[in-house]
Amino acid sequence: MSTIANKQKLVEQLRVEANIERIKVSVVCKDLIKFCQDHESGDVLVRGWAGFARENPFKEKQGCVTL
Amino acid sequence: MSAIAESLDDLVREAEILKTRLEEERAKFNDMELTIVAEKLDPLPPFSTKSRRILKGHQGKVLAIDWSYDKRHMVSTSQDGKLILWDAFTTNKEHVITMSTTWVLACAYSPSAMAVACGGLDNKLTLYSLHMDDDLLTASGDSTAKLWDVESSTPIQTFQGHQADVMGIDVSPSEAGNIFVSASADHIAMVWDIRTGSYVQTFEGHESDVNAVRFYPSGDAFVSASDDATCRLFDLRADRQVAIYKKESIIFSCNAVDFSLSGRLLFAGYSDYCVNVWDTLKGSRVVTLYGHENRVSSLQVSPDGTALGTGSWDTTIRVWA
Repeated sequence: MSTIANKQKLVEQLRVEANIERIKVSVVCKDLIKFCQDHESGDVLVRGWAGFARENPFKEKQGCVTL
Repeated sequence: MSAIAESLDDLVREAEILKTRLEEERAKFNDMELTIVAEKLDPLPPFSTKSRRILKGHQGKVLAIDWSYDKRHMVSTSQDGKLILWDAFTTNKEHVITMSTTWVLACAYSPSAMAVACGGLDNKLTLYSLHMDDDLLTASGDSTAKLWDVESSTPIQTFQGHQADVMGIDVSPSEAGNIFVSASADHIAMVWDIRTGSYVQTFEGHESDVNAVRFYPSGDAFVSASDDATCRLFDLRADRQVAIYKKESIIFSCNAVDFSLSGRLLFAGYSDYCVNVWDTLKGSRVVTLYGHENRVSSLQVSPDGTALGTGSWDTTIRVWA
């Protein structure tokens, strides 16, 4: 009986999954690209630190030494 | 008896028909490839991030790391049975906690950074906290994920559906945190609704264990890392794979993945000791980060996106910035 119950559950799940609303890959790709472009200017790992007001906190401080 | 047999046959038949329909529906919407749409984008500027810190202190393989939301501290767990809280700026160890088991497989800061959670082969979920009122989501080798009420130490919801160990989970940055994705040794990634406790989508394609998953920062897609040496980008709205990150020369398992702040860079840690940096959109490899002397087991971009932390079986954690 548990096999039947399991199969019923699987069929129910597949029905739900088969009926979900989908969007074309060409459309979702444009959205993925747009998200990147909208956020790239603030992405230090993409842009590097040049152009950022802040300094890289992990960069070794180059201390000045007065002789 | 025959009635039961008949209805079982019917159900098996219907499941097959539905699976075929599911594939046909997905195929209908597969009109393009991400890398082709992204072809005309400007190339990325040169990659300037390099290894800045090496956190040494573990006596065994580093198995998991997590950044604190203060962007400065890190927690790590290791096969040596220790949980260490680090100041990643100074490389100082602020706390060293000895666990009751040696294989501490996972660790995470709470959003308030007031507590850390970890778990391992003793089947226990342990919390070190000053104050904590969040719920906690865990993945387990018993093929389930569980949502816990921390105050009462009891599970609120069990997420059943995978056929093998759940290797990793990630909660969506959108949808008010009500959606999460899971990676499993059954080769499948599943998207779940925390409110109902059931899965809403399944994503197939990997040819071996899926070891880790991470949402694209918009929440519309997620990337998965697998023993089949590939990473794949699956889009929730298209309900299918939209990109694959692989090379003939990459033959070892991928164990950990994360995105840069904008999602443009995809960081992936492999068993060949390397971290490969991929252009998420173009599908090409930007650079390989060398430094670790054993398998890269865990990897995470800091919350403000300025640094990458990597944990390795070579017992060290590196900060790339």
